[in-house]
Amino acid sequence: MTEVLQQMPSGRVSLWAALRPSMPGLAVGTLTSGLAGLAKLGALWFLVQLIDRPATESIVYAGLLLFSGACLSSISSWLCHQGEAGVASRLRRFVARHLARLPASTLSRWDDRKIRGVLSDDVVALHHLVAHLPGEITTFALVPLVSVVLLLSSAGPAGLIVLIPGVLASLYYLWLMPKVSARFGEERVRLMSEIVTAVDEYVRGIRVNRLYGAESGALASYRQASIGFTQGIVVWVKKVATAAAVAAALMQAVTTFTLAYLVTQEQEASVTAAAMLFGLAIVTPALKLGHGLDYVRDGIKAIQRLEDFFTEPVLPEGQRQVNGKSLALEVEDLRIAVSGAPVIEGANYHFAPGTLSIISGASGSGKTTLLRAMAGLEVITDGSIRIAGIGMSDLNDESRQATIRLLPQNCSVLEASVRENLRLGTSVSLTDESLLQALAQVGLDVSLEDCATLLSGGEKQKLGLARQLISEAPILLFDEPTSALDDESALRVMEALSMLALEGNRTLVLVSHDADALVFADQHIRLSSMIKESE
Amino acid sequence: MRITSLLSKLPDQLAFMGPSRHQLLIVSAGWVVVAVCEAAAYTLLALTVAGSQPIIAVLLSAAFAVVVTVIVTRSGFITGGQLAGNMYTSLGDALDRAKLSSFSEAFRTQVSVLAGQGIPGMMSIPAHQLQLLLHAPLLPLLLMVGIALIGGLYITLMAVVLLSLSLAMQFYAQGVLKSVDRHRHQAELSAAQSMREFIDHLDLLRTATGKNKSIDRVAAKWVMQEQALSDTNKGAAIASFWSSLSAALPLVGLAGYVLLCESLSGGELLALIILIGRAAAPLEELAVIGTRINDLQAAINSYEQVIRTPVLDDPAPDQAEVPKGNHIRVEGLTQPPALTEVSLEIPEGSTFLIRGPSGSGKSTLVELLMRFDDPQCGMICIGGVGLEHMGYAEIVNRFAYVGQEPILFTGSMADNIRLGRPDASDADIEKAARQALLGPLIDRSELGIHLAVGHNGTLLSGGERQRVAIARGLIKNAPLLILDEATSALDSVTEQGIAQVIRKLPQTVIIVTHGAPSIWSPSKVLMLAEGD
Repeated sequence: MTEVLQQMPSGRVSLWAALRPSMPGLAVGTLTSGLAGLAKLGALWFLVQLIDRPATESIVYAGLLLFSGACLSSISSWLCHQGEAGVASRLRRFVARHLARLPASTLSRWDDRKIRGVLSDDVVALHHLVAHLPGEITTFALVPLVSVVLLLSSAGPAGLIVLIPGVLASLYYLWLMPKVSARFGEERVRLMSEIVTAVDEYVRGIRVNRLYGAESGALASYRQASIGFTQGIVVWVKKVATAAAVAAALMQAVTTFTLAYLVTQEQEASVTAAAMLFGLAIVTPALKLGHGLDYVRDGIKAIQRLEDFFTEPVLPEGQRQVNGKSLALEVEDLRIAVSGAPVIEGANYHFAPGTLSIISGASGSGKTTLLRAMAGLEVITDGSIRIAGIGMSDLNDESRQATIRLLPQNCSVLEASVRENLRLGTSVSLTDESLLQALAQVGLDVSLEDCATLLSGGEKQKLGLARQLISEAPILLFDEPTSALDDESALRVMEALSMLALEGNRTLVLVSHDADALVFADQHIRLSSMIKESE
Repeated sequence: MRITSLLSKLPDQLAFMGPSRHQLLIVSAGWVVVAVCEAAAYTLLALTVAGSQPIIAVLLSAAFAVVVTVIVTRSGFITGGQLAGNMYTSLGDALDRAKLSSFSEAFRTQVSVLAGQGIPGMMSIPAHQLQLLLHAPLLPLLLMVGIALIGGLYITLMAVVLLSLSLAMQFYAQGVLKSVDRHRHQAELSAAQSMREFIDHLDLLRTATGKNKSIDRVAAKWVMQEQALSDTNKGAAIASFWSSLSAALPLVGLAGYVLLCESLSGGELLALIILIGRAAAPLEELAVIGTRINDLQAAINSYEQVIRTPVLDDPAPDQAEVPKGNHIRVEGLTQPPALTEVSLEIPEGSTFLIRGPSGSGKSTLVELLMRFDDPQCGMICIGGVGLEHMGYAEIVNRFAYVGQEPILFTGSMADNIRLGRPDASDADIEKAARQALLGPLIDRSELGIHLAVGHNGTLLSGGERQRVAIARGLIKNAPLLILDEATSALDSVTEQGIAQVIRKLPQTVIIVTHGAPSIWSPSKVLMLAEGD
């Protein structure tokens, strides 16, 4: 029976699912934003009337329109922010869940930067896009259009001259600047990403990095990237920022008003008023272009990366459940290939309840891969793994987790209390006594309040083992469970595990290179490497 | 008032980060000049509209204002870039010298956020934030002069009242925003920490809680962050309402007053509208300052905290002593909770073995030898010189360390080994790799020593990762080699092979192990008891 990886139909489905619930809110928010803009224009029109002819109605209407504009603006701001927050919150959860369901071999291909990218940076970029684009379309299309109409009707065609600086500046922002700035923008993003990654790597590997000096390694790439970053800023200032500052200055009220006066100085005050006020109303939104359209480009790239991410195949999950306290684990004709290269071939094993089996073999012979596949974390190319006759890929996640539990090799702990680490993934009703009992069984003498990261390597390993002992899963897998322990502790642990198998009638499978542990094994499997070594 | 207190503290805080107070004060003065020029241009324009003034004055003053703005903006960008550059350098220096005990996961997140968001955010201070703080409040004040010239005393008084009312509304709006925004920064930091935990411990979380539940911890923090953000959004909407209203108030109010109480020509009214409109406009920008100042202050505080992390004091170069040889002597070393009054001697070239149960302080002892931290009491001397009396570089050059948990970086095996000696040639690297029994792995791959190790080394098995770390230690050829449980993931045959290689090395080797000591043929063994 061939296992087939579950493929996501299209990356776009997840993105759309994140966006769709927020669409109504965003649509209304954009609409109210447009209405708010129109209200403000109406108020300006009444002010122009006021300059022509003093009348109380003009002032009253202007006041009312400005008030409603304020209300609409505020409603729009709230709706749009809530909408975009909703998109971001849904999207991050989709990304995290997808990450959690990727096969182990896929994850090991990726670096920290890429994972952080999809989980954090790309969600933020998309969120910016959703936040600003709809509002900007309205602000750039609706309000300027109406303003131009009002300007023409009040000041005549000559009024259009007032718009010239604004048009020039807009051309700069929309056409010239993206071309020049794109290169700098990309470079800056790349360097920024390098800085953050370098800092991360430096802190993570502090012991190695501190001793192996600053000429190479993380601190050196950090310094290089940060110098490159600031040099890039200086070049950017010289080439781009100055021109951008000029463009921004062209769109200030100083320029618009002066030009408006120049054009209309022979006519009545109300015409000048119209030219000034409507001219400014058209030009001001264009100032927002000062932020550049980088966010649009970044958002589109983020969408692409997220789509690619969501098309990565995930581990299969079924609907079935398995019950029972004592379960057998069957491996039949198992074949696992990673990136085309075979790692496990023709494996046939039976692990019965009430037994402890040990798998050993040379480094690279696929022991960890086998264990991961049995825990449902690796892709099976051919053959099957069955628990009580039900295929691994047919089980639902909850049932699988309740049935089979793996303790991975690297003794990692969360930066939290011992209690919190022990409680990870166990039933909430566990009392402190049962936690302390498990600690005693593995010989770990620490308080439940202690911070787990301060423990020594061996103590961290015992912590993981204690957590396995607490779990009620019928099948327990262990990857090198005694590698960091001294002989006495290792013996004690093996005794506890052996007793667990026997008295608890559980099925235990260990990968271990510890020769002393073999005496506890009911079954010993030797894996040989798939790759032929030259003698 | 918050703004004035920030203004008075800001130059010192920023100067502490790099560019001299001098530079920042120049940019600040620049913004004041911009405000003056702009006010002059508007006033001249208003006077021209109201009465009749030579048009040339208007044109010149407008052009001048534009030029000054461009110059100050540009210099603001440059200063901002320098500020960021200096802050990055200081951050690097602080990380280089900080005590090892500071490097918790919280610290790691804090530094990461600082590097990726905090410092870049501060680049905008001279060009944007200083503008907001200086230009925005000054312009309205200067424009009062113009209003007085055109409208006379009562209108000016009315304008002042209206603008003050408007400002009060802006501050109220700020206050609303600030009170709801309080929790956002903390919630965001907490969420960032959780996300880091999720990425780093994905394997642990998946195996312990199952795939679906593995996101529970980070999702709980996200819920808190989203709640804080929702509160901020509400506050922001309310603040936005009051701020829009307050921007409209002076305009409508003054026009209404003029209509009811005075009679002015159309031109004069327009002139007044121009001036009060421009005076009210910056007040709207001031409303947004609330959250920006919060973020800024939080970033500055975070930066100061990181820079001030406890460091190891290094003696000045002229006072640093140079050790003679590499004989190690430890006396009365105490470092709670694990070590109490430990004394030992390690002759040069010997093989020294440290044994003991988990938690007896074996790793703590070797870390103190390498001065990752300073002990509570006691003395460590190498070559007759105490660790705190020699330059840090001396210590770094003398030690090569292979730790219990091999730390590999994404890249090739050669890159990871080369960390031990950056100028090593490919031949040197291959030699060290084969010494560490990585021969089969190299021969198997068509890329040889340049084979990829994957994300943090996960393409290799545990044993292979350890051997890469050992090769890294070997290639440095340092006089003192420390192996801290460095063979725990190796099967006994490989471990014996490594032990054979180590036995032949001439340098001092310090081995921490819980395994059989005999394979290392130690000249001395130290047994650390529980709580020793």
